[in-house]
This record gives sequence, C-alpha cells and structure tokens, in this order.
Amino acid sequence: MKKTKGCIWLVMPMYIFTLIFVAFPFLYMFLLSFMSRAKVWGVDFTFTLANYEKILDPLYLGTFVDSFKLAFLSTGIIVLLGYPYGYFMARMSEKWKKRMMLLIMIPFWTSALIRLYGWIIVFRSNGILDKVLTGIGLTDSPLKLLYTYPAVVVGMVYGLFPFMVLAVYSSAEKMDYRLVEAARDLGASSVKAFFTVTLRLTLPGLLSGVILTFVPSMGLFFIADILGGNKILLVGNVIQEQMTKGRNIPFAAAMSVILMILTSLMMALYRRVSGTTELEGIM
Amino acid sequence: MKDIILRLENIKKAFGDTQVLKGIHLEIHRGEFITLLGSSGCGKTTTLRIIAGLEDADEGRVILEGEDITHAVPNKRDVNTVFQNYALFPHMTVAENIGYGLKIRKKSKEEIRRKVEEMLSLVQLEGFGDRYPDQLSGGQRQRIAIARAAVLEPKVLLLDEPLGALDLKLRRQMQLELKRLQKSLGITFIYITHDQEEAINMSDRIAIMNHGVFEQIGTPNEIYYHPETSYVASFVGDANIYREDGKLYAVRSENVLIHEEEECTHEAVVLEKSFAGGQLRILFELSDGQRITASRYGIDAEVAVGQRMKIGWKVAVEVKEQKGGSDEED
Repeated sequence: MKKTKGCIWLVMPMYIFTLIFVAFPFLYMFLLSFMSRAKVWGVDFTFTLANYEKILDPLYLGTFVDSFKLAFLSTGIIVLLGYPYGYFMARMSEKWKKRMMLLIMIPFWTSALIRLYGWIIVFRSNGILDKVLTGIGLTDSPLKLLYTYPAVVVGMVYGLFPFMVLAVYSSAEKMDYRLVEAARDLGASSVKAFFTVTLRLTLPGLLSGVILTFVPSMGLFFIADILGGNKILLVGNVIQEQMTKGRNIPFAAAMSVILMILTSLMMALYRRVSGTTELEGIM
Repeated sequence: MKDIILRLENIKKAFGDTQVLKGIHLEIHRGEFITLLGSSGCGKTTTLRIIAGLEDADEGRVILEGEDITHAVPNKRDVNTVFQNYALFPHMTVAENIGYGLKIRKKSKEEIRRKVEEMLSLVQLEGFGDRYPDQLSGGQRQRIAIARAAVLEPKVLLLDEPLGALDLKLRRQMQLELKRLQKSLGITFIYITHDQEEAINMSDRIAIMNHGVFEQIGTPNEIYYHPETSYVASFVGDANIYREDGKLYAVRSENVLIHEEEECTHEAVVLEKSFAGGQLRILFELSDGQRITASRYGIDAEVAVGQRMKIGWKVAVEVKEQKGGSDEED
C-alpha cells in the first residue's frame, strides 16, 4: 500500500498541471460559450444559446463543411505518402532508419511559420515553382498558385506529414515481419499478404496518424492564412477572427466547443475501430 | 530405389562475406521424417528458408517432384513452414489462422470449417477455434502452428525448431506427438533442431550440418554408432576425439575405462571432476597433452584431481576430419 501512495505523489504534479492548464480552461471556455457578447470588450455574463444558433447559420456551417473537406483531402494525401514512408523506414537497416528519420526531423528545427514563408517563395507568381515549370517548358505563364486551395492543401500535407510517418513507423516497427513470411508461405501473394496481415497489424498506427493529421488540420488557421490569403476560411480562421477582430469571445468559445466535440467523436471512432485508447507512437 | 520427393543440388548461399551454404546436396524421400541437425549458425535455417522460397539461393537448384522451384515465389510452392516462435496471426482466431491458407485458395466456407475442425481434433485442441493466439499456452500455439501448415496438405512440411521455446517436459511430450502426427498425415517432414536427442528420437534420417556442409547423412543408428567424421562423433555421441599416428578415433566418454588392467595403457592425470545428471565426469590429460573425458554412473568417486592413473578404451571408431572446418572461421 505504501508503494502505491508514493506513486500517487509522483504523478500529482502532472494531475495538477492538467487540471490548471487543461481542465479549468476547457470548463471556462465551455461556460463562456453560453454567455453573451459584451458591447465593447469582454463577456457579458448572461446565459444564452444564441452562439450555438449562430453556428447553424449557413455561413458558419459552411466553414465547418469546408474545413472537413480540406481535412479529408489533406489526410488522404498524407496517408498515401506517409504510410509507405513510415512502413519502409521500419523495414530498413538501422543506419538507413536513422537517415530517413533525420529527413523527417530536420524541418522541426525551424519554426513552422518560417517554413510556411518558404512555401510563399515557392508558390508566388514568378516564384521558384513557376520558374522551374516555365524553364522546362511545361507552362507559358505563371500559375499563380499562391493564395489558392491547392497551396493550402500542400501546406497542410507538408506540415502534418511527419506525424503520420512517425505513427505508422512505430506500428510497423513493432510488427513481426515473420508474420508476412508466414502469410506468403501459406499461399498469399504479396498484395494479399499486405492487406490481410501487414495493413491489419499496422492499422493502429495508421489510424492514430489519421487522428494526428485530421484533428490539427481542422484548426491550423495560420496555414490557411499564409498560403490561402483570406480566400480560404477554415474553422480555425473563424475562431481566431472572432477572438481578435470580431471580439466575440462567447461565439469563438461555442465554435471551439463544437470543434472539440467533432474531434472527440473522431477519437471515439478510432477507439471503436482499433480497440485501443493508445495513440500509437505518440502517447 | 527410394522415391525422391525433394532434391537439393549444389545449393550455395552467402550473406555478405559469410558463405553460409557451401554447395549442399540432399535427397529427401517421400514420407520420411528427416532432421537437419547442427549448432546455431551452421546453415540449417537458411537451407529451410531456401526450400520455402523465403530466401533465394545464389547457386544450385531446388527440385520438388521433378519440378525446378529454385526461383518460384513462396506462395507458388507446395511446401509449408512451421515457424520458430510459431508466427501465428495475432489478429485472427485459431480457426481463422488454420483456415487462412484454405481461404486464400478460395475453398468454400463449409470445406474450410470442416477441415479446420479436422485439424483441431488431430492436434487435440477441439473447441479452441474461437480463441486468439494470445489466449493459448506455448504448447497449444505450437500445435496450432502445425495445424495451420499441415491443413494445406503440402508435399513437404518444414519445421524450424518448433519445440525450441517449450520447456523440457513439454518438449518430450511434443516429440512423440509430432511423430504421431507425421505418421497420421503421411506428409514428408523436414525438421530442424540443434538438439541431438530430439533428432535421434524422431527422425528416420538425420543430416548433420556444420559450417554450411553436411558432415553425414544417415539413420540415427548410423550416425550414433558409425560416425563418419570427428564432428559427428563429438556432436551426437558426446565422444572424445583421440589422435594417434595421424588417424582420428572417436571414443565415447562412457567407453573410457579406468583401473581395468588390460586396456589401460595410457598414462593420464585427472584435471577436473564433476557431477552432472547422476554421472561422474572426469577430465583426463594424457601425457601427449590430449584430453579425454570419461563419464560413469556414481563409481570411482575417490578419484582426486591431480591423481595419476592409467586409462584406456575398448571401442574406438576411426573417423575422418570434420568437413565443415573449425569454429575459428566464424
């Protein structure tokens, strides 16, 4: 019994931290979402459901739909690129694993914002991409890719790709490759062995990769801001604008609550499918 | 003339600079239980993987019933493997594991169900179909792994140290069971082990491997009583190798005589003595520096370390130098 007590004291700081910086703020935000907007600045503490009604307005509902669409598209591309990368990295020799891992980690050494400005240089009219494309004769005139939807998708894929790779890698690393050999030995073609054994056993990693890319891509407002100009409005952008320019804190809170509920539903789905609460490789 | 089901012709395989198989030949008869016996790193697992198609031979041919399958993919060979540590699919039930190969072959649900039931009763695990591998004991997993491979009725079943992870008691029991299974299935078994007792108990023939070559291929009796090389004699029979006039002799430790007047012509000093498994083991050094171990059941206990005495032996089999070279090559 003494032993258990000691453990509790060791984890207490973590609980207190979580309580103060996660649980209380969330509760506060939840309460704020039922308050009214103050005339000049701040919050008028009178109960209302108006904020939630306002979300049903097609204008705001539209941003939720757009955000979902963008998140689905980005996540889909990330799965197609990140799964093979993570899987093959796990099958490489130790030396190559380190090299491939380094390729993934190096960008993290620079601020995400600065890296996004790098993309501006690539995408802008007569930027690097245009010069290369016209240089090799693929296009005659600048593509004007900056501040378009594809630019935002590229930014999302670029920013969230490492999370998928790491999640898939940690799952594939744990998989016993002899199981694939066993499947081949029992008559499965390499494609069949992949779908019946490899994919099924790396599914927890793939799914946590999906969560780790899908959830943030709903809220990464600065990518849409920097690469999409103000043309592409995502939930994250709306929340940010309501907080700052709109000064409607209760409404921003209400949108955040809805966003959190939607992402929680995703997590619940993940739990159902993978049968685990652990996020592979991350938690 | 025996019916040859599988033939290995001059198989060579290297991993990097290490020549693991140095051109091996082997003919396997239909329906036999043949064991590849050798210590770890001798190339026995590589041989098995080349037969299964999980490894590609650098040179040589694998002929299964007259058909050259040297470069066929694993799923196009009529052989199946029981893997070391079983390799059962953790996300499938026992029944799904056993039925996996049948499902790939697009058998009907009814046929799969019936065959899975048959296999389960053959390995004496009726009613375990709905369990998952992690709910089974080591011995049970072992049987499922065998059932999963055997249900496809391959021409040859390959078993890679299938009993290695089990404890001694269970291993003995499974040895008998495997032998029974092989008889009732009528499938040719190629069995891999480093345990000479296992090999002698189960095999129709044993092929002793050492550093990528076969030292000797023969029945357990031939291997035990007529070892051809010094490696076979010492690995299987726990024999002393004694050199005299440029010839090699194998002398089993239980045949070393102490105190008996006539045969005891060698001057020796006692270096060590120890008890193991109810036996007294005495290590002697002869006057020319060669060392001989004698083992006895509980007698001659008064022998003291450092004591000088005369020893000798009745049965000494002349053997050849081992083919696989010495351990220093590794």
